[in-house]
Amino acid sequence: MENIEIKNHPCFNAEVRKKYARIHLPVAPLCNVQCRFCNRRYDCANETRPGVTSAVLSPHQAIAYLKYAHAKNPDITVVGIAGPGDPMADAENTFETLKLVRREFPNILLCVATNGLALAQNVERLAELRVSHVTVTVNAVDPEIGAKVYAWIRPEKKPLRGVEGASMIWERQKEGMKKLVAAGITLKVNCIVMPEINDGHVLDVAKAVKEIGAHIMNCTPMIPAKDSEFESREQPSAKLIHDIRAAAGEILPQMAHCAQCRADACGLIGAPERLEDRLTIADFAKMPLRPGENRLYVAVGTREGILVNQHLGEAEKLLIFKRGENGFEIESVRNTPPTGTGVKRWLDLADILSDCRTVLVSGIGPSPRKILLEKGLEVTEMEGLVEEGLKAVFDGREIPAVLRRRFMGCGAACSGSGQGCQ
Amino acid sequence: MIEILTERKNQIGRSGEGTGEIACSKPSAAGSVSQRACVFCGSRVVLYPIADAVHLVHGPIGCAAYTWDIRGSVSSGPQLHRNSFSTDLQEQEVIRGGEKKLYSCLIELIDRYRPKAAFVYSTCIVGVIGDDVEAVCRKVAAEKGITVIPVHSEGFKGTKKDGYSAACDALLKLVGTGDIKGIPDFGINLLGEFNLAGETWIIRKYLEKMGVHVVSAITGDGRIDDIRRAHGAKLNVVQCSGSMTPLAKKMESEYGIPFKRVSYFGIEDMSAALYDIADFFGDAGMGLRTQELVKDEITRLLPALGEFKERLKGRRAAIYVGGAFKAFSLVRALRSLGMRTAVVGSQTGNSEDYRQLKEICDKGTIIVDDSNPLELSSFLREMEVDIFIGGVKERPIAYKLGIGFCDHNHERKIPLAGFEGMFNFAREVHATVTSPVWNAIRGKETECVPMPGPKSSEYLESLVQKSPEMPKAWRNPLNEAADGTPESSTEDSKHTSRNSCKLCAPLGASLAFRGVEGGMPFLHGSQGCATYIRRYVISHFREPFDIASSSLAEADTIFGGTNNFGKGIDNVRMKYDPALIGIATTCLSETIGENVGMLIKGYIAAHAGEKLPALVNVSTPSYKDTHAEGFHSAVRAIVDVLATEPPFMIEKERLLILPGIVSPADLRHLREMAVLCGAKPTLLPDYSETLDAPLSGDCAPLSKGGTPIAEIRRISELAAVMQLGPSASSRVSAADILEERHGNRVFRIGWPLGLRATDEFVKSVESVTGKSAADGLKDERGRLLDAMADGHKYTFGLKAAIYGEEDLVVAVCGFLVEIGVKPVLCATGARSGHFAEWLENTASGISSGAEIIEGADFANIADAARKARPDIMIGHSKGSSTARELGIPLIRIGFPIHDRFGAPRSLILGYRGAMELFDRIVNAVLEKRQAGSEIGYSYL
Repeated sequence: MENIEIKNHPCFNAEVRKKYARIHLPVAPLCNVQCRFCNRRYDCANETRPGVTSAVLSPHQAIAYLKYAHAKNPDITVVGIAGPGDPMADAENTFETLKLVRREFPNILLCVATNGLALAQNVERLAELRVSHVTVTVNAVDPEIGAKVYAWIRPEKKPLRGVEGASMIWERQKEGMKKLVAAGITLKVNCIVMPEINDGHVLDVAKAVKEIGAHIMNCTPMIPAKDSEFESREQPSAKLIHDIRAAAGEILPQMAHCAQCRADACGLIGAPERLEDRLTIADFAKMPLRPGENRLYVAVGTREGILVNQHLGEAEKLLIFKRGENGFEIESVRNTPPTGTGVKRWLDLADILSDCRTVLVSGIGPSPRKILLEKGLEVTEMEGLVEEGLKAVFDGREIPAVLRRRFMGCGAACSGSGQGCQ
Repeated sequence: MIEILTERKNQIGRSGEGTGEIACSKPSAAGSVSQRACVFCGSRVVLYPIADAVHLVHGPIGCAAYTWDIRGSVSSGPQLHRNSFSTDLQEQEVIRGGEKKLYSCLIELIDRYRPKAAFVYSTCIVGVIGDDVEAVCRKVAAEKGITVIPVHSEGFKGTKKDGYSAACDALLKLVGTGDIKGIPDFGINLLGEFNLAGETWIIRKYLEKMGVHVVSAITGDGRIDDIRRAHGAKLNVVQCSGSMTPLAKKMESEYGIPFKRVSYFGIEDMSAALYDIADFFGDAGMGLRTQELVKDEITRLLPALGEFKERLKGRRAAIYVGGAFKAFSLVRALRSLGMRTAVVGSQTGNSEDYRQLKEICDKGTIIVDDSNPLELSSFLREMEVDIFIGGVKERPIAYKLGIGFCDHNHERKIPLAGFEGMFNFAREVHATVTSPVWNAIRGKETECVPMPGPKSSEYLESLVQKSPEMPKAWRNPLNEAADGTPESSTEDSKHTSRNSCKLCAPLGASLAFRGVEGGMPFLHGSQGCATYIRRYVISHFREPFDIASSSLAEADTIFGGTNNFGKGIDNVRMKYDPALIGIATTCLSETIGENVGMLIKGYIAAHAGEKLPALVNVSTPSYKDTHAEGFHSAVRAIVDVLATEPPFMIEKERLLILPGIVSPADLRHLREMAVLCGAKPTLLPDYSETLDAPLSGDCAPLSKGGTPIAEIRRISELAAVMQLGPSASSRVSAADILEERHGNRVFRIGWPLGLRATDEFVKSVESVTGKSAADGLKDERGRLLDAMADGHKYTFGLKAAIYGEEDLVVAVCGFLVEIGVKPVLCATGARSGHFAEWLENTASGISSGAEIIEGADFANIADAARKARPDIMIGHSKGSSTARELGIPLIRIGFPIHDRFGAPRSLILGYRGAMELFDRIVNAVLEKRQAGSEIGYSYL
């Protein structure tokens, strides 16, 4: 059994929220419920609320994105899937992604947020992948009230409306949550507070889910989306939310530091999203759906054939390796396109290496990296033995951290009270 | 007790946890036992490898007593740098100024050794008494026509890094003064490469193959004239950037020479260093040659490394080294052996270094700045590492915990740089990680461990074929001038101490304090003293030896050290919870006039109502006393402060033994003999356990054992006090105090070494207890006599030279006379004025045939030995070069023994110890005789 530290989930443990980061992978665009306050528009980089993402990724794109983001920010301890639709309604994409993440990051926390309609039938698969945290959004336990929240639900093919739909979703939610608790998964219940709809009902929700065994609750204010049915409704006041949390806190522990993250959030909770990250996710979305996989070769920038030690911009030749029966073999040596042709050089290079999974080099500039990525070629920066790099790539593992870069620090500002290097 | 001082909490982090920066670049906290040294140490390590210069340490002897051999930068030519020259300032000079003596010493050394230049290192004292070192240097330079460079390395003026920069300033006075005509195009300087274990030679070999010319190595195997021409190079390649960056930057601004930082450790970094150099010159041919070189080296190396990797896979390591660059290289090197780094720390990293370290380390790796022994050992345990990589000061910590160790510090004696260095590293790691002794320690079954396989042997053979010729026949560094010719003067030197035969007083005091139960030595002064002393004691005893320091800095030397003192004592109490803190002064605190007695009173008053440890202070300036006197003074202070309770009931069979500086084995045997004579002995000090502890798998802050304080308090109840050895009596001794204060009966006798002296000891004890010695002891006496009879012909007529502490030399001579060995030379570094008299008392008639020297250094000893032509030498390991020059055996006893194993177990006291010493003398003589015979074997 790998070592998963469940305390390190920043949403579930306020103690670590400033320490550990989470990343949401936007891989599940489908949904099976229409909430009256919701409008799942994909491409809005400036809004922060659930259901919003600047792009939807395929599971493999998501892994490529996750590896990239994790390399930039090793403090990521949690991978969540929160939409932009409902992860359980989009089970195939969700589980494919969870499986890939678990393979690449055996120790990372996995987390899913769902409306609970399609939860019960998937709990076993969640447990198998050692998903440790699940959030179910329960807005009403009284079908009369539920009917005001949900325009329709679609448990199977046929949509159900009104009280019928609302009682069905609550039944399904109960069943799913009971299974979660039985499977030992930490259960958080979100309740979206909608003034004049369910603001007087939240305590009933709290009591009902406490009985089922929920561990923590998050009463979060509705954000009415543009062009949604509730567009013109008032947001709940801070005081209302505060009072509700205080009252519900008598029943269940409350998570009060919720930042209502986007479906593609990344970093520390509540920390401003950085624009360049957002652009990156779009870049990944433009990649082929399964970048590099099944390609036979790996290109390497090396001077003497043993160490990865050339910057892509400086490499006149690349060695092309494949995995043979007795280890790695050189398939060919390919010249890189001549310098001085600007963007064309990289487009040409992508063509030359179109049969390569990746190219191992000691360095690459940001814009060539982007161009190559858009053409479906991942660039892997590392320094160290070619053999070790190839092994990681062909085995589908990450490049070990220690090979990812060369030490450049010491002395640069050897401000030390300085006892020297010897 | 707490393991991490609160003020150090943010100097520790864990990879994968938080974004918190690691605080660093802080001066060491007072009272924490830092692994750091001082300004002087920093200057000295940088400049000492320059082999054709005189290096003169201006100050009391202590600083120079810690000699070249600690670090061991090797030279392919002149050996002058291996000498330890000191002005050996005495009390009068500290009062009246040391300029005159400095002048005389310089003139004397320059006449004698004709160096290419001379460096004068200022120590703490010089900074306080205000000698105008610059002026003296200028004067001598003008008179003698050679460059004399003052190095401003007063210990308290900062940290080791300030010492580096003082050394860089000194070097800058040389750079640019030579003629640079004829330097080839591809010329570089190697900065920060000190030729430890010949590493510079390995790097130079690679560079030569690439077609790169090394203009000067600064300073490994360094030469003054090369450094003068260093400005003729096109590029500076800087290793150990902490020490040499100031020089590189200056050379960049003054001569336009750019620099590159490199590391030579591990495959990747070594290759990158060579490519960086080749890229700089941009020469196509050189580029190709570099590729071929790297390819050839790695191709030969990898199969051999593979063999080690197979057996090391998954093992865990802890790293604690000087700089972060090296830590980084090591994390990688370990990875290429399939190992994981679980703890990594450095003395000097900056926050950027630590950020990068965090990035490359696995999650959960502990990352730490400027650590100390306690902390380190708790990390080693927590992370269950298989090997600790650090310096010799850390070695006993690892071994006590039952963990492997690899020396990757400046004391290393195996080259670890370059590709072959990587092989050596793998071999070292393998030898220590897979050794079966750890199984034995953990009570596991032991199997026959596989040794490195055929590929390693093949690699070694390929090395032998490719290696350059390594130097050179051994020569005595004292005997020749800088140009390799014999030294020009045969006259005895009158002023300079050349390779001292004494150590500094606080060292002796620290030893004594560690012989009290729960006793913690604390030096009031700058930090280098504690670090140097620990380095010396640890290598001898191979035991952890913590000494705290008040770490006085420049401001404290002006405004007084009260703050640091109190803070230091606080920290020591918090971390060690000692029963006694033994506070010894250093030259610095003595000279600035610190009144430790008052400081203690102030401290006690400020902490009224708290449970305080016993606070004992002793004055130990090295310009007055040697380590032996420091030891006796500390014992006296312990007794003076603690042995105050009046007697309740005199116990007839109890007695106190004041043994002097003897080995732990000797201490145990003294106790045993006293017990066999019916006594219940108390030894003071008693470091028989603290400095020779059984392995327990634990590394307690203060190891068990030592004289219990409760017993010291009630010494008045003991029937008698036995003070062994004459030297304690040259001043008011512990025994004198007891005699006067409580009227204890006092025996003042010699060390029980040899037949008569042991008889006297036994008789004295018998006279106290009123019982006669047990048969076992009588049998041992008989066996000694039997051995003496059996071996008398081998020893009769041998001529011996004996040196060391007075007590030791006197006692050994007593025994030598009994077995027919003639002492022809007796020397000591001390100056009591009684040495000859004590010798005559113990071995009557000795003075007629022996040269007896007080205040000797090893130059005196070597001179006298050349005349006296002894057959054997007896003493500590610092006499080895003289013995080697004379081609005679050295029987190693006393302190320090740094070149042989097992010093704490060496037994010379009692009948049994005499027997062992006798066997060693006989066998040394036989061995020499047989080695010199063509048959090589003789049936006795």
